[in-house]
Amino acid sequence: MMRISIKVKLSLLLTVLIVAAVAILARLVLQGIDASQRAETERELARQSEIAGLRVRQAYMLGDRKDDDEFLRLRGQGLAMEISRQSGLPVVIYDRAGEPVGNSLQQLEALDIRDTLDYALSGRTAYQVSGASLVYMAPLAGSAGQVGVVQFYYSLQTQQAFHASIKRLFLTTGAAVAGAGLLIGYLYLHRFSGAIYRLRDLVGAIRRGDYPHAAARVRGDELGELEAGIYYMSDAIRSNIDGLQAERHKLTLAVTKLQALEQRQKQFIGSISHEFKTPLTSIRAYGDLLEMYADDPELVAEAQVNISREAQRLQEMVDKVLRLSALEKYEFESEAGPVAVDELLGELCGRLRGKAARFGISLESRLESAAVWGDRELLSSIFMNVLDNAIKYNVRGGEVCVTCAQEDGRVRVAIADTGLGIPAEERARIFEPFYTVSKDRARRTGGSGLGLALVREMTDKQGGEIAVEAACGARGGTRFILTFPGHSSERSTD
Amino acid sequence: MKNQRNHQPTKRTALALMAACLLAAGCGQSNANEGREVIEKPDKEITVLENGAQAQDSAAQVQTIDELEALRGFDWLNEEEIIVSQPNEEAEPITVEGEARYPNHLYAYNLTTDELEPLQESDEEQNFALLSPDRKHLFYKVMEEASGFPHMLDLESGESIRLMEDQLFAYEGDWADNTHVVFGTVTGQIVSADVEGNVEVLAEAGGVVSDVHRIDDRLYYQNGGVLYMLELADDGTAGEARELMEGVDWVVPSPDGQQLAIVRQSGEAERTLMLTDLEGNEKTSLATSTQIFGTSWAPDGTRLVYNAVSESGGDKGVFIADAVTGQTTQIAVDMEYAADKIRWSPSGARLLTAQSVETDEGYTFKTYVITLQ
Repeated sequence: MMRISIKVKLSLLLTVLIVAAVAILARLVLQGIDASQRAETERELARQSEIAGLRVRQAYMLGDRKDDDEFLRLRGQGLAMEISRQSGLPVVIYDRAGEPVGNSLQQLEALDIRDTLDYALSGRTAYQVSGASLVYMAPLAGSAGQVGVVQFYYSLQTQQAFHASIKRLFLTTGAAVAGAGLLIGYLYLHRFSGAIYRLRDLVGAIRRGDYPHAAARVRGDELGELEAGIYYMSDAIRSNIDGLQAERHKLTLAVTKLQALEQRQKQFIGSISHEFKTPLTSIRAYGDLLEMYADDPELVAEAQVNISREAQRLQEMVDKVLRLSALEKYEFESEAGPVAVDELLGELCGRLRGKAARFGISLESRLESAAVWGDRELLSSIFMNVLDNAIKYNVRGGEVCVTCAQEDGRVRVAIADTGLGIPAEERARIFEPFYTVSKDRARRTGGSGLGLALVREMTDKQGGEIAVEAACGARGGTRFILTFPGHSSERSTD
Repeated sequence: MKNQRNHQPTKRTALALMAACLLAAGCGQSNANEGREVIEKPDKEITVLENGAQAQDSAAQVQTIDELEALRGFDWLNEEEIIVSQPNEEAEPITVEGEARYPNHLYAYNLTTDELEPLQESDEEQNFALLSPDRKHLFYKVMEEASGFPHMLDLESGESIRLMEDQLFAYEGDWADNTHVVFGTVTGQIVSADVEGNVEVLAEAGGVVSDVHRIDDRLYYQNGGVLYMLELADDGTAGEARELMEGVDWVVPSPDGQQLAIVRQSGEAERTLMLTDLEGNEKTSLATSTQIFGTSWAPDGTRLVYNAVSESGGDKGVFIADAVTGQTTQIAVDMEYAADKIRWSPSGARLLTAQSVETDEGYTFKTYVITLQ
């Protein structure tokens, strides 16, 4: 089926309606005119024939009383003239036999009227119409019944011309009205269907995934309501889809994170089991040895020391692992508050001075007052770890330098040692769990490899950063730099 | 798609209904074909009408018309005799308008025997005769040019009295009862005269007074086309004249004195014959034509006869109007040169009208006696 646009359909309908209305009106009016004209013509001619009859009778009575036929023959012509003059129409008078006895037009027109005349001769009024001429015949009454027929010739030209002019008028007016109506209707429909097309395009855009914004100007009718509804739906769909996408994105992130976590956990467990094996192997070894040589006092003493040491290491490892996993799980358990970093560092340095002295390392600090917002325990752990490392990986007679300063709203803590240092290529990896630069070295000094990974986790939790660099200076070494966002609160500097 | 299917039948029925309505409207027009027969032929169309329009008022059908040459009929003495005037060639000629001619004298003419009987011998011009209701006295004028002196003739004795030395217009004067006539003089007086010749001035109307009639104590008269009415007090003094109507041509009181027939100018070239009450309030309009004249009431007051001439080549002739139904019937054609009022015979079965005829020698008259069925 051919697809016709609504604009064309409606315009056609409008045209058809207008044309039909004008056509029907024209037909009815013309019919009415015809009926009215015919009635008037009949009335007028009936009146004229009555007067003619009166005239004939009067003439008959006034004249010598002859018989009807003779009278008519004698007076016919005169009467025809008189009747014609009075009526203004051409008149013919016929006798009873249908022969003309008087004719106002002098010359006889060869009109084909015989059949109509027969009707009139039978006593009835009859008229015939052919073209624009009407011939009207009425019976004439004499002293005793019908004496003849009087005929009037009537031109319908005026009437027919009028009819034709009205018809023409209807045609031209009808055409003009139809044309104007079609034009006006089409223009209006154009606007109207334009609104519909706009809606269609709107829906098309939505299908494509384009979510347009509502137009400023909205119609005040049902189409306007429709338009507003479609915009509303578009907005709803868009926000829905946006929401779904956001959700999906979140889910993807979560999945990725979970996958990474799974991966890390697998690695972690792998590392743990490896690291746990080593001390356990040692402990089992000593256990076996003790079983075999229980009475060797040197072995017992050595076993005791080593087993304790390995157990201690295991314990520390378990603690650290627990703390690591606890950090990932139970973040909200940390209590945050303003922490005076310089005070904290001072306190930690005090605690470690003894240990440092045992190794012959001097602890120096230059602390400015600075505060961060965080968990005191956690910060304590962080600093303690790094300080501990600085002592552990130092040389005998070395130095540990701690500084604390506030820079650009951030608190910068630097812990430098004069140890062997970390090769540049290893610096990135030292924060990985269980990674040690030198595994043997770590075992000797009791490092589990978990420390820095933990420190980094904890630093991240505090919103800070940890970086490592080579300590410059004649003695070399490593410097760890921790930066945290500063907390500016009024506090007494007493 | 299902909705579309449901709408289709509704649309179709709507269209069908509309078409039916239109057809019905169109067909309704052509129901006027009753009472006729239409015969279609290749070159023409014949319509035959049932002659239902023959219902004529039987009482207004003419039986015979008699034509009387050289006579001017005025009124009916009885069913067989009429009062006429005719130039008396046996009398001395008189000079009228610079021309010499025989004077008109009044006669009684017998319609059956054709006998003429002079009413009053004189040398004067006698004309414009009006019989009293009891037909015992005759009011006429002795003419001098266009106006005349009022005279009273006792038909029994044959004696005539000149009522006044004042002159009247030719058509002026009407019988108030069997013994009195009223008329307006050229000097604006309304005068009553009795059969004995006693004359009394009833009122001084002033101006040009004409068409005076009296009903009981009311006097009707025209002054410049305006119809007035004044009432006479018991002591005979004239009351205030009241204007009843403008543009009046003729006022004709009914025989029973209950209503008036008035011919009034209703347009540029239009006259209307109407019936009014005694105050001049219109009750019925009977006829309209270019000219209406010669109006008179039938003795029984049920009909009127009048001359109507229509300018548009229409009706021209004598008409009878039914005072009750208002129906008018033409009973004679032409006769537009009526000289005087058309008069009913005492029985109401015959009409008398005199027509002026132009001949080579001047004017003469023909009188028609129309006998109704």
